Amino acid sequence: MAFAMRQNFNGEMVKKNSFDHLYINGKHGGFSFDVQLGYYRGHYLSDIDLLEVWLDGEQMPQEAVTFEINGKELPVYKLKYAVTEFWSQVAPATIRVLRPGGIAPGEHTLELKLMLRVPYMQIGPGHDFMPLDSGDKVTVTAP
Amino acid sequence: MSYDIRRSVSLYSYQEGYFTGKLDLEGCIREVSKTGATGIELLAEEMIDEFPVITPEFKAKWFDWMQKYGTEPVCMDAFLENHLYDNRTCTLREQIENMRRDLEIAKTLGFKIIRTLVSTPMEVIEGSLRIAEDLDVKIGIEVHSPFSLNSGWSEGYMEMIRRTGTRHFGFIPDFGIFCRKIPTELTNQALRRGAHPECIEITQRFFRQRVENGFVKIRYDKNLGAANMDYRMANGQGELMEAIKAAGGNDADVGYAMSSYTYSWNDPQDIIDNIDYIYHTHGKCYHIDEDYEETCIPMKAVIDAYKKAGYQGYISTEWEGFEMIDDASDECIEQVRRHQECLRKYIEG
Repeated sequence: MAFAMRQNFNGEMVKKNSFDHLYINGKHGGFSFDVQLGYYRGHYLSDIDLLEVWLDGEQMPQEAVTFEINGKELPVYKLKYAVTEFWSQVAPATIRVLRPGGIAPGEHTLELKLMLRVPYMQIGPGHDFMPLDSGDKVTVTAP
Repeated sequence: MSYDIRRSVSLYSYQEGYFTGKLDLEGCIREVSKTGATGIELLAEEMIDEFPVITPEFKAKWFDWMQKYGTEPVCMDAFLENHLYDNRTCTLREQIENMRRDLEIAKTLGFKIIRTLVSTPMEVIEGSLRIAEDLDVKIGIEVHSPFSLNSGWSEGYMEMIRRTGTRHFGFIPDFGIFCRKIPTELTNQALRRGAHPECIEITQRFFRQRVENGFVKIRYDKNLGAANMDYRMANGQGELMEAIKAAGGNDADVGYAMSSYTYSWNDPQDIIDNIDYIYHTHGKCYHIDEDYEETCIPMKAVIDAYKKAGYQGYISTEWEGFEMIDDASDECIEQVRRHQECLRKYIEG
């Protein structure tokens, strides 16, 4: 991939301890986790250029993924229209993934691909803005 | 001329402590107060609860803290988010509305000036002057390296100031324009990443030559990317990259060489020449040693220029060394403290 800015703060981006099952009618129906934006200031959600969830090397279908901040849950395809929803970098978002049958207890590799553009940092003519990599890849444990 | 130089801190300096939760907004203000500084510079999108809405609760808390810690709001750092939509740049009207929002937030929280970035187009600034005048909040454009005063770039803004006669727009110099060396911490980080000492020396030699011979200044151009690239080339980046390549430089060497163009040296006389339009200042710093000296910026010479110019305003510590070290969540507090001592020493000395 081309150059992208990344701020390596000494804090977790994907909050490992937040990883948990989603329950539908009392049965395992997916998983959820919290993520903190890896930048020194917040962003509007429309600045998110890419959000993908990969579990154990398999990409979760985009239509199974939702993103929630400020008590508002959005499907991934609506993020780019969310020009008024501001994501503070100290208020983690919750990501939910529907997965029929849920996930097995025990260890999993969770990768969040999360790319944003820094909307004030033009690095070239036209529409070239600084890409920001706020993704993370962690080992998590499902109860 | 009599001067009145006051000390403030940009809470940007504490970003890693804030991100990790070691400091909340009140904690940052408390740390500023402990250094003896009396001014607060805030990034709205970093630390305001429920941004962009200023709730009555937040406003009340904010002014309570100012009173409790003996501080006052000085400057609010604004960002013009002109790429909010993925398919287009915001229209001129949308960009001016963004400026209006930020000027109003600044007014609500008691700031006298907002900092705008070099990326804010001239017509957006001009289109916001009436709002700034009505609210009596000034707009200051950051003079951030590689941009500089007494340059084609700053002359573009001076022309606008003369043409409009405004007293609500001016400059906010950032001390990154007064670097006589590449920050040592950046060098150490490059070495940790596997840079070769001989390549480091090549980059430093080129930097020394720029300092000795003078930097070619950046021009005014709406296309910032093109202006920046031409600036780098005019200052020998092409030759430097050739030399690094010939010496067998790796990624860390190339990164270090490219980063060296972030820093520049300008004569502090620039401050004196432009003092009528300098409304605020960013005391950018990278590493302050135990003797309270910035290791690459000659602080005495810079502060002496502010005194000679008769500056009446604040200088905010803006520590940016966090990106050069592994863990800055505690170090940010100590580095800000040391920089404040450095400022105190030369302002009062």
